[in-house]
Amino acid sequence: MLKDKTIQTFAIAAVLAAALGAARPKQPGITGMPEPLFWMNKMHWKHEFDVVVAGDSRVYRDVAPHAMSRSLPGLRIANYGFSGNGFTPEYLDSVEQTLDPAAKRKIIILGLTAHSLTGKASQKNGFLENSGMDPVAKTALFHLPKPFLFLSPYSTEEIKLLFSKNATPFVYYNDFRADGWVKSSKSPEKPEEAIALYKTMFAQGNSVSENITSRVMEHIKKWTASGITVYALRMPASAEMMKLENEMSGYREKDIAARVRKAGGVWLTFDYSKYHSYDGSHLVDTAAVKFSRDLSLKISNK
Amino acid sequence: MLFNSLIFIAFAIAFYVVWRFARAHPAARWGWLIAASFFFYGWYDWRYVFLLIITGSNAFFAALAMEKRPESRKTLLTISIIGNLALLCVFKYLGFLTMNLNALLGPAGVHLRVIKLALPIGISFYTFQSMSYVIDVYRGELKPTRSILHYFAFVSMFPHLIAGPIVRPADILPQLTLVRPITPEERFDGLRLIVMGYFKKVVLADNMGPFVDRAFGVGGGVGFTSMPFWWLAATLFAFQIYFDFSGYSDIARGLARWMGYDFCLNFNHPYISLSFREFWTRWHISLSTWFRDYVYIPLGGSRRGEFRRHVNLWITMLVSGLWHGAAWTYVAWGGLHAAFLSIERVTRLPDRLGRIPGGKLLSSLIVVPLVIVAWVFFRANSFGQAFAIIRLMFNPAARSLAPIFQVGIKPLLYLGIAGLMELYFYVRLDKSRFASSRLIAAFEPVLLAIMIAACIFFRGSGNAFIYFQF
Repeated sequence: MLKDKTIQTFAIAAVLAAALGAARPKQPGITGMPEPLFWMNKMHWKHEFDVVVAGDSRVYRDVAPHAMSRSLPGLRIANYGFSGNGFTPEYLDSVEQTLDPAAKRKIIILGLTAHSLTGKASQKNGFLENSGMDPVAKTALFHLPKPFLFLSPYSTEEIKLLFSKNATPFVYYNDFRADGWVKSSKSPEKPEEAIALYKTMFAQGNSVSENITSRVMEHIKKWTASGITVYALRMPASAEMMKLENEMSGYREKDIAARVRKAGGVWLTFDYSKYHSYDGSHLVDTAAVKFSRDLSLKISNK
Repeated sequence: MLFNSLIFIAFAIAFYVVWRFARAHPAARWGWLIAASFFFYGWYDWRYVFLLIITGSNAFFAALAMEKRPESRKTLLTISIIGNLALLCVFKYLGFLTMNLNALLGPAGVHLRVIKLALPIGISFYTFQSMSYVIDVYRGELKPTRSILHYFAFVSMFPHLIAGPIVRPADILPQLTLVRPITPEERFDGLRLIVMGYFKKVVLADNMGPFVDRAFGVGGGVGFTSMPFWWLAATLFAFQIYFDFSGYSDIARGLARWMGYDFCLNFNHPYISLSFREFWTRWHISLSTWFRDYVYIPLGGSRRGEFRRHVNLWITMLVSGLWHGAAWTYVAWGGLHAAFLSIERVTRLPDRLGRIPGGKLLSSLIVVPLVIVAWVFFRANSFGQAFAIIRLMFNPAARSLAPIFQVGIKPLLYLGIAGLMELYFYVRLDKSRFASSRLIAAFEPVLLAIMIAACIFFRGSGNAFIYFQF
């Protein structure tokens, strides 16, 4: 049997896989749940929450459910943001599915960023990627996370760390929490980093889509008619980012706010200068906590 | 389901466990193969299975009818081909046809409603397979099988079903009637093909893919304005599509080998070609031979004079381009290759270059860059984007290397690996004594194990195989 080359190949491959899996370096700054499990956990939320916050990376990095609990005591709060997310029909339906139908008070909070309303966000995003995963992979990740993650591909950062122990003084802190929040910060901070990316994206013709905006408003109307309270807001970002979005993305905050109100929702406004961003788009963890408290106070006062 | 997915691995394990026992008897063998293949195909969309049944049944019954009524052979062939082509055209070309009719007849006030149906995965492949069956029976080259199970086992076999190779009935039908034990060498040979295939697809092609997608973008514009950048992007696409597609073919051949069947070679290192004619004997061999046998030769091939030869060549290449997709950019890609082949035929440049020192290298330096240029039309979102990119590729004033430094090392690293792999065959190391030595034979399980580990830990983020869209 040992002379069989096929068996030899699999045996050697098993040894190599065990070695490479064990040699995976720990990325500095990454704590909490393993990232793939963090997302898959969210995908499994069904009928569990009283409050769900939906949107893209500005939601999942900037909204800390535990910080909202003080002003919204007794309510189960979920951060249902996904990377690069867009408001597709499947995502919007899924947002509603996370709410407990038996809850006395049901609240949906929509973080309506410029990017989340573009066609590009609806075509390719973290929610679609996770829902499109094959069922065997989904099951394996959710029920057998340790072996699944042991055999997961190396990220570019992990490959760099394999060859250079102290690769870079730059650290991107990400703490993946079970409530859906990613506590984030960067050292050193790069306040202009996201500006260049968004500028390129909007310059390539990606802009706020009327179809997608209308779809969101139709859902708000449907939800409010069914007894769900809907809040919507523009997620905080740096002043420069907001100026860029106003000028290049087709995002008209006043129009969107008016349409949200017409659909039966509540538009929330904030003094965005109070919140500090580490890259122009996302808030540092302390600012995210502050923003989350302010958000929950506004909701509790309504 | 994709070959590069866990669900497929689970499916394949289940298939081969049962196959071990089912293969002993023809009905069980074919029945299990068909059931598994229908399940495999239906995973994408169960409705597609009906299309496969309709297309396959069309050819099967037409062939049987030809045997019963030889006087009506031509009519039956015509009906069968028109039926299958009509189905293909409805799903693949209806939107394209109506858009072009609107453009043509718009000034006359005609405006047809443009309906674009979702393209059933693999339809181009199994339609061609069914057509080759009925044509071969018509030509008297093949006796039709009387068993519908036998026929559907051939046309629906999951390894080749959705992206080829386009297997010939004369090759596969006889194999499906045989039962013979698979030797350890054949098992290892199958493993070699499968591992190479996965390595090419998930490690090489999928690590190049994200860069190519970013370069060509979804907006259709040209975000980068540098000659070296676009040569890099186009070369990366050339290798991405090659490894993606040849990887799939290798996996298909390996899976078939594990069943005890042999599929034809579909890619034979096309980028080491010294002429365009050679390129087309090395690229997507099953498709190019299909077009040769069922389009080029029936048109007259090279038997009706030089001018007619070129006409037949152009028709074949343009249709081949259109087969790849319902867009004029694909036709342009086919047209470019037709132009290259015609010019080569007239000038006999490869033969002339082959006689001078360094001529072979010079041939490569002509063929490969022009093939890469043609790929730009294949990949571009529009003619506008394609021409903009080509202009940049030949604009020496736009020679900034800065955009390449922004790309990062990853695509360059994988392109380097790809280049070295093909160089091995270009300098004919595969034919050397070194390659056939006992040392290499003993080392092969280690090499394959390294590739397996690379497929697990260094796979890229790409997903579907490119040729699924055809």
